[in-house]
Amino acid sequence: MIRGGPQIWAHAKFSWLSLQRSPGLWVVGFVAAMSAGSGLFWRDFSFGEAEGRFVLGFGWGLQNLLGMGLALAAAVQIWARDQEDKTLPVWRARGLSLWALATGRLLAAGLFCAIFAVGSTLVLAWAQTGKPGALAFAQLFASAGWLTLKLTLVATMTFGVTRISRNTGFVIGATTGLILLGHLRPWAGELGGVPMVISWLAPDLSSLSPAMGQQQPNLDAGVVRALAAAGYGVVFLGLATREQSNE
Amino acid sequence: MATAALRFDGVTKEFYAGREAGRVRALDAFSAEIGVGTIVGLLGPNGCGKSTALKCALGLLSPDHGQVRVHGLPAGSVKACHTVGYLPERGGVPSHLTAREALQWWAWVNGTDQQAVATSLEAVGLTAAADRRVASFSKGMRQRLALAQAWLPRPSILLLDEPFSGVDPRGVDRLVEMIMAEKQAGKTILLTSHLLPRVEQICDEVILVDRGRVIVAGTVATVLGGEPVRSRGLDDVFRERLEGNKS
Ligand SMILES: Nc1ncnc2c1ncn2[C@@H]1O[C@H](COP(=O)(O)OP(=O)(O)O)[C@@H](O)[C@H]1O
Ligand SMILES: [Mg+2]
Repeated sequence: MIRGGPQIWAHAKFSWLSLQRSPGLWVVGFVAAMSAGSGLFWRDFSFGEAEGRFVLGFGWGLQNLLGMGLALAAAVQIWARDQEDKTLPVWRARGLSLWALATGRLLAAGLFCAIFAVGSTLVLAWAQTGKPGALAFAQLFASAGWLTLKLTLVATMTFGVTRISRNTGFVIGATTGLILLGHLRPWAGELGGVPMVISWLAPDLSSLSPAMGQQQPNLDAGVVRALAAAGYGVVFLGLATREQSNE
Repeated sequence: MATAALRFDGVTKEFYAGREAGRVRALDAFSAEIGVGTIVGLLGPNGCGKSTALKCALGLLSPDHGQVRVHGLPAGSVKACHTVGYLPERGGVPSHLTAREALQWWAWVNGTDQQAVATSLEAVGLTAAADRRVASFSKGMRQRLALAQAWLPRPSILLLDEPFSGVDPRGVDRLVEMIMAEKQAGKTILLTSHLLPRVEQICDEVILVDRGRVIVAGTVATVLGGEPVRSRGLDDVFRERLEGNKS
């Protein structure tokens, strides 16, 4: 019997093929990246300075929002296909690691998120500066990196929610709820008490967002934020290993 | 006494089946012993608990009372799981992969050598369709692939849940041949089926179940009434016994 590492890798590839062979997801992803970067097509009409800034701010916001929708869709795609094919009971019957399965799925979803994050960041930077490839590598890495982390966390939350129910509507709804909650953290923190405690159910996604309306992506989110995100990620991954399945 | 390949000891399993029905008892003090190297047919009407019994033996479900042992090991333990292959009643094969990819992946996660893939495809007659996506397969082709998957890691026990369902007569002939070949190789096989003449043909022993309880168990000859009266088949016995169990 082989150990966890190769199992993770094999399952990552398995789930990746599930994504790769879903053309709809790629079309939506492409359209999403293009709409976020649509400032690119408008900048030649000489809007005033303020409008230009607004369009770009809107673009970064859209990238963030559509990215989360895509991360959710990718995770649901992987999970729902496995549910439909009923491959999980066969996996479990052989005593294969459920952590390997969850981690493999996560890697596949993470790669998809990374491709969207890098692609849309390049388009947005182009729109902002008027030059393709204007972003220095370090800048691209930081900006797309944080977005990838955030989107992958959203995918992990989706997998975690499948602990509670096998209903696709519920999984999408509950994850959307958690995403909203994750953006209310600063606000709930000010309120204190019960709202604050409830807001801890979801990771602080607002701390991983590019700041809305600013022309620069948020590059200063610190190590602490990344660690907090990773902590939540591990918890949701643990929940994902106990996915509901109809044996 | 040698350890049985599978041993059910007073297994009781209940499910919650909605507010109207409340809890239904799928298995009721179910006991049975399957010797090493035998082919045993688990028979009974729809909903009598056959699939539930297999799932308990695989550790996919845990009994409310009683226990199942696999080669003397608790069912569901990693060591026990490594000795079993499972063909689920529905699904179990990934639809987004080709037949070859599916088996390559399965060999990889189970630590089986890749050479087994080609021979398995050959054995189930899927060599020509090996590079077609499973999604495009007919029910019979899927069933053959699922069987190839079940025995690819060379388990010593095979649990086959309705291997013939939805397969045409020639396909069934083929599956029967495969199962007989596995028996020659010394495998223990527990299968469920409604094709009683086939069961009579391939099984050494049968277990007749009704409402979660064992009604008759024994070699095919004993169950048929001791002497080989060819005018009497398993289906006659089946009907009589179930009739007698009505009250
Ligand atoms: N997950 C489940 N939830 C509720 N009831 C179930 C579940 N699985 C099986 N049952 C019930 O348990 C009984 C036995 O089911 P099963 O073992 O699938 O029967 P068989 O395989 O013999 O047709 C049936 O009444 C069925 O409705
Ligand atoms: Mg069944």
